[in-house]
Amino acid sequence: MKRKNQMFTSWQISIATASLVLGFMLSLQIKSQAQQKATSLPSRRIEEVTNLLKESEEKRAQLEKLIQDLRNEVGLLKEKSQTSTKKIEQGDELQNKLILTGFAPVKGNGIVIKLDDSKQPTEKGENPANAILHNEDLLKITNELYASGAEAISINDNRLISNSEISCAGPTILINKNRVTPPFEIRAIGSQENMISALEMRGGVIEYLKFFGIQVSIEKKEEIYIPPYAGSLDFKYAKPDIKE
Amino acid sequence: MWLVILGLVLGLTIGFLAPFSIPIQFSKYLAIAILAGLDSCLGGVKAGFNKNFKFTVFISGFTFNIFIATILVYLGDLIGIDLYLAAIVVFGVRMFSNTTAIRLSFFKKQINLDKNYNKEKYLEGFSSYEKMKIINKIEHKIK
Repeated sequence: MKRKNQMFTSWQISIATASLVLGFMLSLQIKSQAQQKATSLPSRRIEEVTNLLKESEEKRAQLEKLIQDLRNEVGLLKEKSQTSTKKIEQGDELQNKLILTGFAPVKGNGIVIKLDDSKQPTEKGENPANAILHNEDLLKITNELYASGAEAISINDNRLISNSEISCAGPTILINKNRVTPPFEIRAIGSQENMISALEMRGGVIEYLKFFGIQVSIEKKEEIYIPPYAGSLDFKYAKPDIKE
Repeated sequence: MWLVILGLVLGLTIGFLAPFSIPIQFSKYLAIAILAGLDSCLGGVKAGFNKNFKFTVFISGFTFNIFIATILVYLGDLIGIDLYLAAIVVFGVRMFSNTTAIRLSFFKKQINLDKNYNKEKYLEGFSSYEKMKIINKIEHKIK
């Protein structure tokens, strides 16, 4: 019942104040949701792109396996047909070519180098980029290894061939288009003494890395297995120019 | 009724003009608090239209429901169950029933809602003076 002196009844006033509070909370919530919508769209795309990347990597692994199987088949067929071709390369030369091109898995004496980022906390004034491994460090090490007679090198089970790149891709390194992340394991088959002395010489690569706290460990091993190159063989530009 | 809407709009503008905002982690709790508050206000409006409004009931319901709803969501987070779903269902149902009651209260003159209401039985427990008051009240309402 409305009393004549009152403009608004008492319940309207109390509900109005409560709805004031409610409206306040509502607007805060709407604001925060609007903010979330503005920032969450890119993050949704990040999820999509990550899934796409994972799928592509899985597909690539499957295809690599297929390549390997097909190559084995080709090898078998070649063996069968070897007796009927005119120019048959001698066993040794073919073997060497297979090792050099990375198409044969190899084993032999050599060294295993393990590398990991520095665990020391960076002090003030120090550049934090010096505490992590870069692709240049891997390049320097592999160069030293080749220079000291390494015959086959693999980094985290990626066989290095003449066309292999060790490139920087944000926080990870790409080798043979595969992403590798620390800790790195570099396997090299060759003369153990030559390789170790080349790496550990004064003013050399290992000393430089250890100075910045990078964890390096070199081990001699009797039987190292290095896997073959698992990438694709597709030369679009280079054509062989062999005269018969 | 318009005062209520005015209050809501005023609250909205104050909130939009406020410089601070809620961190994203709390947005779930705030959402359920809003739902509880909204349900409480609608219940209050329904009571107001049906002349049943009790200030203590409304205010205690408003604050308590908001508090309890937030606690419920937090508890759900703690034990790993989405308890806020229960709160959403309950408040949603209550909001619909309240809005229906408000809608029907506008038509109370046309629809005879008191069909099953037995006046004699209801008046049995009261003194004659109170009976007179109640009868006058009811007569006035139906007019």
